[in-house]
Amino acid sequence: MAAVLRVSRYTPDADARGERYEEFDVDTGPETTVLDALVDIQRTADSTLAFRYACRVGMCGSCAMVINGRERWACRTRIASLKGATVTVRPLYHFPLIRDLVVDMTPFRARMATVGAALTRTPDAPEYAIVSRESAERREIDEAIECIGCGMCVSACTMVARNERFPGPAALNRAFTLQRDHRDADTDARWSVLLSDDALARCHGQGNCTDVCPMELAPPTSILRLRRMATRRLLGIG
Amino acid sequence: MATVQYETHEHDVIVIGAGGAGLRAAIEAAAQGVSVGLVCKSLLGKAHTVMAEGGIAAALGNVWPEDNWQVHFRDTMKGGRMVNNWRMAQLHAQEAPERVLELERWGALFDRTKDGLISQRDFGGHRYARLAHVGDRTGLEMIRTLQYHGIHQGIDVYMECKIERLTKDGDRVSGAFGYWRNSGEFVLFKAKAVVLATGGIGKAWKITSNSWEYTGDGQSLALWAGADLIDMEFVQFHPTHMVWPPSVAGLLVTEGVRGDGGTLKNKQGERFMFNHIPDLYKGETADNIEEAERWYTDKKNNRRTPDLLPRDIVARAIRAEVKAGRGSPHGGVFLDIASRRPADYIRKRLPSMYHQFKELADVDITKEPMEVGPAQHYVMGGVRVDADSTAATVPGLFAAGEAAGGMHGSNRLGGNSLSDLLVFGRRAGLHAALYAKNLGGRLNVDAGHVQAIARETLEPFNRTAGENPYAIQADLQDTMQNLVGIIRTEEELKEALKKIEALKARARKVGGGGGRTYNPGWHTALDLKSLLTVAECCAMAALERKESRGGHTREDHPYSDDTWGTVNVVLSQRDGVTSLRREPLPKMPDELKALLQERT
Repeated sequence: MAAVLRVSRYTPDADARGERYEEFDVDTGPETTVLDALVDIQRTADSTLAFRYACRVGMCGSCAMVINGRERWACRTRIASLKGATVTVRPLYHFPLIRDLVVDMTPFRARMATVGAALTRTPDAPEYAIVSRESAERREIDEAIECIGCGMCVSACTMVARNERFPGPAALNRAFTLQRDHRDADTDARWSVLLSDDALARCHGQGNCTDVCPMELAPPTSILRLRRMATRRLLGIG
Repeated sequence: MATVQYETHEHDVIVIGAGGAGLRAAIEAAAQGVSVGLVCKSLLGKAHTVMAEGGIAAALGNVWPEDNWQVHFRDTMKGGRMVNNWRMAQLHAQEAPERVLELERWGALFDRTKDGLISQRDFGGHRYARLAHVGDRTGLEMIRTLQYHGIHQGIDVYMECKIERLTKDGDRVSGAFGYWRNSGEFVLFKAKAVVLATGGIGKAWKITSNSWEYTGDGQSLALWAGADLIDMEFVQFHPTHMVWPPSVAGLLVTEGVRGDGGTLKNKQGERFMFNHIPDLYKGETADNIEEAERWYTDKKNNRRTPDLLPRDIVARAIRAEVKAGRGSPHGGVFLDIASRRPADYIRKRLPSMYHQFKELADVDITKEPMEVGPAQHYVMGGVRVDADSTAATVPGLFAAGEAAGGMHGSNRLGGNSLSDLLVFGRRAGLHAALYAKNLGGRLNVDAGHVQAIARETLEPFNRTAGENPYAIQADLQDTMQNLVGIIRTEEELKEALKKIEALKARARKVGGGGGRTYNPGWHTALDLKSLLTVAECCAMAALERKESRGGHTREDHPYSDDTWGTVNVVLSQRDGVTSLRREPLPKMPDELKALLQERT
């Protein structure tokens, strides 16, 4: 089966007028993924075609890109599952562009850092926590814990585009997993960030992040849970 | 020729590689109060550790109170066919439980037993259920925890930076020189101590579970700097990977599938592993289906199923079945968990496997068997290190994780990798920091040497009509796949070395173009140098060892030979020429020898 891959190209020195699209003819089978096609182009047609990937299997989240207008992971996106014989591939939105499909992920990590993404234990916490499999705390955290840091939610979020102080879906989701964890001792500091003007209050609940998350996480649910926790804390009811 | 410009950073300790071992090393060095820089080739959090699925082996004794470090030590030595560095195996077994608990203190949370303790699962070659795990995404939880903890500690991280060569001041390592993948600009890291935690060499083979990053960087950097490598002939071909469709061939199928009840069958539906139990394991392995079936529900009174024999044995068995014409349609065998476990259980315990097969192969593993076969997965050999300090044979150089050799002997048990990363990552960070603290004064970097490396790095751009680097890489992968695979012969190894020599000549004339900004063609051209270096080391050592043991099987020397069981093959390089020699294994103390005799 023949398909056409329309790939966004950009090299800082060469493309003064910004990005352009280049078309590549690719042979595909029923199982060929977008990543397979990109790797094939890189090996045989143009060794300079720049994109990130690592694990090839949906573990690492390196190959996030916008495929036919929607954020997807190239390694798990089969060309046959997309409509039409032309597949358009461009880099993630809301990140500075480096080359072709490679963006600068620094803003993603910076947003993570604003919420304090590490767990901090109280000095007198028990050495090892006995945790029930059935506790509500664990269930809620488990629903939000599998983030692989791919950046697709940030690319899809309209609020991130308007407000660079807004931590965005991935960071707020991460914050929830820590605020909900009774082993963490840094919640006060995190609340002061989360309850500032540009954090929890800025999510409008459109749910674009949920639509595109490859791990099927729902950052708005985490954000709602954080709001509920904040309200309880304000009212002094736990 | 114009002088090449570069930026300079200075730290007490530089760690190269940010998987489990590198992150753990950086955390430990920072905790010692020295300045630490962590350099990695991809983005932080994307290193190969993230792919580790099954779990981390540690004798916590949560599921089996009978388990302890002595049994774990015995299993590890036995799995490695007794050529492991005994002291590394001992430290590993003793310290792994504390490293797991420490991860929990830093925020990880492993799956729990019904009593709320860390749950442990069965894996090949481990006497007791021993692998602490987070579903089948243990590596992700581990990397995330270490990454956030490390950042919180204030470690400087230099991402998407590739180190081309180490620098030296006299005999001592004094830094590392490389380039930013993003910009192609050069960077020098001056350091008193360098920790290599760069992982493995899998990209030298065609069918491998390893990512593009695994090009033998650390092993090569060490060799070029004058350090020894050991055990490079021992390469693990993990038995179960996807074999179909072609684009996903080589993707790992976790041993956890078998640990959780999956069994191997040939095309006649026969549980063929019963025909492949070696003498060494006869005492503890069920030799009939009835006993193996009883073992799943009564592990105390029955012997383990042979589906959970060590990886080298299972990989050879699968290869033999396929060769005898009893394989699956796409050249593998069947792995069946659907007929033993309910769909809910499979989805809960093996979520990644479920999605991987569903999305990439249209196979529902809760209903039908998987088709699996062996692929290159791990190298047991690597930089020769001192067991306690992880110091390489060049002062100021340390190595941990897959980049280091010795710990696993001739074959690694599943789950012993994640624990290795943490135990020896911590030791590398600790001893690199102590070494740096004790070293007075400053070290020099030879500016002329740096200029020479920089010029060499830019050479592909001078050859716009040169050969495509991917073509050379593909030919190397074919060579290693066909001639230095699971089963080896003298004739084929000699042919491989000849071909590698020719590939080296082609690599010296590799072409480039397209500028220095994030240019994957250029990066691949540069990685060829290390990839060819480790491929040559592997083939040379494999030719030297005239016996079969663990991850090294010679068709022309099919049995293990006791005299070979007492030596390591050691490789070193002087003036660009690689040579090898045999050296006796470190002598094991009697009290540890006694542990190996015990029937557990």
